[in-house]
Amino acid sequence: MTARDILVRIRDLIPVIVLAILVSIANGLPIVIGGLVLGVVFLLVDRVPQARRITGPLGHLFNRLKLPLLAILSAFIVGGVVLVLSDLEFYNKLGADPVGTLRESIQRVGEAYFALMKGAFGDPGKISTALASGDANKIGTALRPISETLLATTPLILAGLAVAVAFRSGVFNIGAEGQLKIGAVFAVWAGIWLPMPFPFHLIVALMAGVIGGAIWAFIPGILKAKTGAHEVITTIMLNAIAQQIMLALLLTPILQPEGGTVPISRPILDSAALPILLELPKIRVHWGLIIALLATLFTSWLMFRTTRGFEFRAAGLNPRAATYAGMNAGRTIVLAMVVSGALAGLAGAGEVLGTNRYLSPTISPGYGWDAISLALLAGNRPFGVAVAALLFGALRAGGPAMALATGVPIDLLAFVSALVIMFVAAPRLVRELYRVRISAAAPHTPQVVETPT
Amino acid sequence: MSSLPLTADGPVISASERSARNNGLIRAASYAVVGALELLAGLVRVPADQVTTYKLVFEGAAIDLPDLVLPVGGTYVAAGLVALLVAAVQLRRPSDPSWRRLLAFVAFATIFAVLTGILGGKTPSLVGLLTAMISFALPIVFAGLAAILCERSGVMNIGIEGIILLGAAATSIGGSLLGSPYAGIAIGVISGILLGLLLAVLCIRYQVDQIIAGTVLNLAAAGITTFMYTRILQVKPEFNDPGLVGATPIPGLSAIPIMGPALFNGSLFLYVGYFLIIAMQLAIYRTRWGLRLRASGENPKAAGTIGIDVLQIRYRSLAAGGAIAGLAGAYLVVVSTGSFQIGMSAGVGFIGLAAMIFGAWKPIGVAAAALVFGFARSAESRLGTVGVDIPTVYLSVLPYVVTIIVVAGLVGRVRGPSAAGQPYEQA
Repeated sequence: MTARDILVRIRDLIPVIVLAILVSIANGLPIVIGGLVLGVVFLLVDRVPQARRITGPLGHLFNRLKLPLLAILSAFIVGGVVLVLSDLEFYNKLGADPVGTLRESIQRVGEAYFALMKGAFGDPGKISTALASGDANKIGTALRPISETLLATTPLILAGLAVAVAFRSGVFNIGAEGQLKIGAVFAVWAGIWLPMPFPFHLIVALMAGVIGGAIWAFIPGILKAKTGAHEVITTIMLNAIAQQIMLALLLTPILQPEGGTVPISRPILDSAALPILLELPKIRVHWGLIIALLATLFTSWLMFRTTRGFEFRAAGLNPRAATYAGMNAGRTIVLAMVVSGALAGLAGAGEVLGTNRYLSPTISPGYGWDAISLALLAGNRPFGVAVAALLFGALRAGGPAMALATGVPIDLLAFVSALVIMFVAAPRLVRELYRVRISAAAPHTPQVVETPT
Repeated sequence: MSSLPLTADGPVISASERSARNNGLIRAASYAVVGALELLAGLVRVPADQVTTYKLVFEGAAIDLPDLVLPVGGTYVAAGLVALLVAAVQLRRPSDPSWRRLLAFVAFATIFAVLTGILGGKTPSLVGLLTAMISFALPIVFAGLAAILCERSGVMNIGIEGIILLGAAATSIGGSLLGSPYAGIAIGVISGILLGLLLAVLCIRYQVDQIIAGTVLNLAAAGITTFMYTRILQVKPEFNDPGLVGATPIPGLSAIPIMGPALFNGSLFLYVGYFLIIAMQLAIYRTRWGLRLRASGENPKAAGTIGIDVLQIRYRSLAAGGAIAGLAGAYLVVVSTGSFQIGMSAGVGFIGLAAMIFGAWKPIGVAAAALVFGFARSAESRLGTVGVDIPTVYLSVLPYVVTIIVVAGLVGRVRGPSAAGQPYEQA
């Protein structure tokens, strides 16, 4: 090993060492040693030539998870730095006691993230005592954080699948947000105005949401197929139009209750409501979750087990080759958009029929945007989307708890999740930061190519 | 055998020409329908004696014009005739490329007629309406010009909305800390430059997909500014008080009746806007720099082959575009509201993209598109203040609908720089 090699190795360890020093300031020695050992092991596994050739499921999983995990880690670290720097007290105290102030600040970041975890997944101790006591009230309270996480996960899975299907098919559908809203409008309309016995009404209302989303995605799809209009521009514009249409309809008698002044719709009929999954007090997670998981199975089947799915993926990998092989590019684009929009519309339907049971302007706190992040994080794989949706659902559900416990504004998490996409979409950046080997391209991001017209 | 492409029926026309002609016919038909509807509204639906009185007086006017009394029915008829006339022009020359100007005429006439109809029996101020139009149009112009710079160099920048929002926050905090709105503007512009460069580094050095990078920027900007607002600005409002930049009337010109106050009694930003529109129009089409800029957006490989540093052009264009977007953010703070508010960019960046497309990637075109969109916004807000009870949704979705129609080529195909959106690897 030459001197240069050794220098390179040391340089490779810099991020780990910096991290270790920061943690040591906060917590003391034992954790440092633990962190250092972990980091070195991580890098060694990555560096040793034999280790890199680990095949089989474990090595494969390791390689596949490296980028998303490092991206999430980096995003949270940057979030922590912002949290420290945005504390005005920090600057006042820094001059007097630098080490102590830094320690305190890092501890506060740790507390915030810990509160986030607890808000998202609950307190294990509390859950076990509650289960032992057998008191439904206590069990409900203890399980509530998990229920809230799953509640937020539900639309995220569906919207994430919507984005993943489109991205895999080479269509940059960034209009999930608008498709979700139109789906919600359709579903809430059907839920109010089409009274029917229970399961039928629910099914009709869900279908209405699916149709609404599909229509809203059909527009950019057909425009791209027939005229070559760039779907990014049209979906951005349709997102804005959807928002305005929803707001306008919420102020008309079509959705607003008689004599209403605020933009909130009438409640849907009970026959159109998605039942609660677990009849416990304070538990809100509903059958939408099961629908979302079924949709994951369906999407996976559609994309990987059907001819149509093969055409979708072929169009995404190389539209020219797909056209040359005799596939109809225009039809593939339209169909992929319709499937994508239908999934997003289902997400909106689930929100109005399950979570809220009415429509309000805040129906989506950005689920359609989170969907883009988590689809990228999951490499546009359906089951990966479900896992990534759980992560983003945890952020959504844990945020209020974090804000309540530590006073950190919840919007920090919006920033962190934006950073997650950035790091996932920039493998080169992660590679340079951590000196690990990561395949060059983010998996299955559609390439911007000239569209056949 | 003749080599000329002639048949017995006449010259063979290519598919694209035929589709241009078909689109022209569709256009003419749509204008005719709009015109007929307006004529119908004017002649049948509106009570004959209903009038709208537009006030034309304002303080410091050179001549005090009497009120403009417009019969509602007559205005509808006039707008209908404009639309029919435009339809006739279109029908005579279906593939005329000047369709955009004609569409703008119809849009203006229609918005004005609808506004007059809705305000029937009231006395709005036309001068105020036009002034509001310019003040809504200005940030759209900045956003559109920023978008042009980026796209012409070959980078699709959908992150302008985020740059505007962060620029607004930076302006407010910077201006408050330094105690001057002008210092705030400088901070806003600098932050715009830095964000433009960040986007450039992500897109060019790390080859992040340009659409993803722009989306990230928008989301991160919304997240971080709301975070800062709740964590700092709400607790310490003195950090959110940069002061206002007042209007600087141009003596003489600002006293011109009707349009004077709108065009010549604005803030510094208005004049900077004029300068930028003209300077960019000349620079893009008349200078060596402009030629290189267009080359790197249209065919970077060819540009690189003859020795143009495409990546450098892209870095600089994104920085300059960021600066202009930062200016838009600064405008929102130091002219419109006086402080930073959550989500205050309110889609201006996206409407700027729309203006860029509607204006066919030309600065003058952006200015015209921004005027149409600004007029729609001003009419919308006017309807809100006089308490007219109609859904203003039609006016608020207008820019987005027009953009979709334009990108879809339904009213004549516009084509952006062909390499916009694609990464370029320089040897």
